Amino acid sequence: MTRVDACHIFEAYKMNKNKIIEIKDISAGYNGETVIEDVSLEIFGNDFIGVIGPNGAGKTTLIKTILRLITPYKGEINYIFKAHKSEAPIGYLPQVNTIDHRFPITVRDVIMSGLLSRKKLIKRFTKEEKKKADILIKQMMIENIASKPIGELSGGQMQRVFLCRAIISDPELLILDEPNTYVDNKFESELYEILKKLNEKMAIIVVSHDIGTISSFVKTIACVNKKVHYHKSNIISQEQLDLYKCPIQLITHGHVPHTVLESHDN
Amino acid sequence: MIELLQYDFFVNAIIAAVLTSITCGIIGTYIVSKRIVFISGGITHTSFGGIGLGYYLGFNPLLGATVFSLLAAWIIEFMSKRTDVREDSAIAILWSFGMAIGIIFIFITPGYAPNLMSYLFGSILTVSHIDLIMMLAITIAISLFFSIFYKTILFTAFDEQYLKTRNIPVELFNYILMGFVALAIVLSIKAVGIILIISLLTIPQSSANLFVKDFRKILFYSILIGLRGSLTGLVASYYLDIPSGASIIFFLVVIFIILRIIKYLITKKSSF
Repeated sequence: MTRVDACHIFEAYKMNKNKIIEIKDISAGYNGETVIEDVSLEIFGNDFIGVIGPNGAGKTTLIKTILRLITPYKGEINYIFKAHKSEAPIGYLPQVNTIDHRFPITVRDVIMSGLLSRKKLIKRFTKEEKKKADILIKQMMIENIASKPIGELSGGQMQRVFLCRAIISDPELLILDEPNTYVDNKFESELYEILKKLNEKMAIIVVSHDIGTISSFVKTIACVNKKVHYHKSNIISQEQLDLYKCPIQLITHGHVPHTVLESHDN
Repeated sequence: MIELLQYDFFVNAIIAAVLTSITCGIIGTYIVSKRIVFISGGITHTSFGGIGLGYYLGFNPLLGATVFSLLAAWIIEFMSKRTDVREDSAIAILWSFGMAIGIIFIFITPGYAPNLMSYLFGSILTVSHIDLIMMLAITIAISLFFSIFYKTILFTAFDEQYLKTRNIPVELFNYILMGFVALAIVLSIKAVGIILIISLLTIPQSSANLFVKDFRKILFYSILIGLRGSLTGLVASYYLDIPSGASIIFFLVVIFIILRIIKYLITKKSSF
């Protein structure tokens, strides 16, 4: 299959799929400074987008805008979720260094916090919700640490816990910010297997500075460097990166690992 | 000991100690967990401005302290999110500004300022019935708010950004909680005084945190440790005729040191 064919199949596949987010010409940043400019992007129900770009290029700003943590200076974002708007059906895994590791909270409580919503500010969690957490804890194989304070976890365990928090509410979109920092290679490959499975149920956006690892898992690539260039394939060459003014190096041994995933076709 | 209970002032002092321990146990756990001890220091010292104003204009200084600490709490909360001022610098400015206002007003108030020392260093043995009613109201309000919104408070303190993505009115909660922090501080002025409040909000929590690492447990153990320290300190201050506030803090630190040694012995034993 040539690259052109893959793109065609991809387009056809996308046409039938439900759009969940529509970003139109947004500019955003902090304290009046523009970090990302004129960004337009459409996100569909089973997307698996890798967001790449150099440090400070606006990767985190882009996802924070999607998460409504930042209000864009101009442009608009439309959310076309199945769930009601107040439900905020986006799961988010922040960069681990933004978390206070010595906060006195247990793993189970962190996971349960993913279920908090406007309607649940007062109400206690139900038995079903607690059961849901138990099932998730089992699936992620973290039963042995469920009652521990988060301060005692390793980097990989921490990511599992925060992934549980992000998905316990069954979001329609899962956003991960640099999930592969502070973790070992073993967990990293496990993580991508988990994400592949989750992608059957939800759209995924994963931010990474390590394009080599993510390109074989994601379906499409968004290059962020103030502007966003959306590359509708997971195959990307150094020439294309240069064209997108995305100054990152493809570090490979011999050749760039170009793989189109099978799940593209179904 | 029993004969002390015949004195009304001593019974009042015990009730005040109990109420202060409960309030500071709860609010202190929030402050320590969220690492906003410095903010609490700022609110505490800003309240001195209100005390000075009370003296000068002739109303209850504690009322002035309430207004000033509430304002300080909300200004700090506002500044931390909305402007380019660095939060810790803003706190330092408020901190010293409040003290300055207090000193100026007390200086220009004609005559001698009675009880000034009691606001700086506390005087739990002189709490009035009105003080007690105020303390009771604050304690009930804080206890109720924390038991109703427990999980929301815990999760907001832990990771407010995540709750914002879940559409939770985090900022509203922050303002309410900062208001309660301010009220808890005002309540403690009578017990230990402005200079020593910060220890009432941190020593029991640090002691509890030696053995437990869960918010709820730290909260309950802090109340117990606070009760132990303040009651012992209170009785000791009576018999040794030393200032009650300093005595309470002294015994709290003694408890902390004893618990620290116990922990050391336990870990040493288990490592063999």
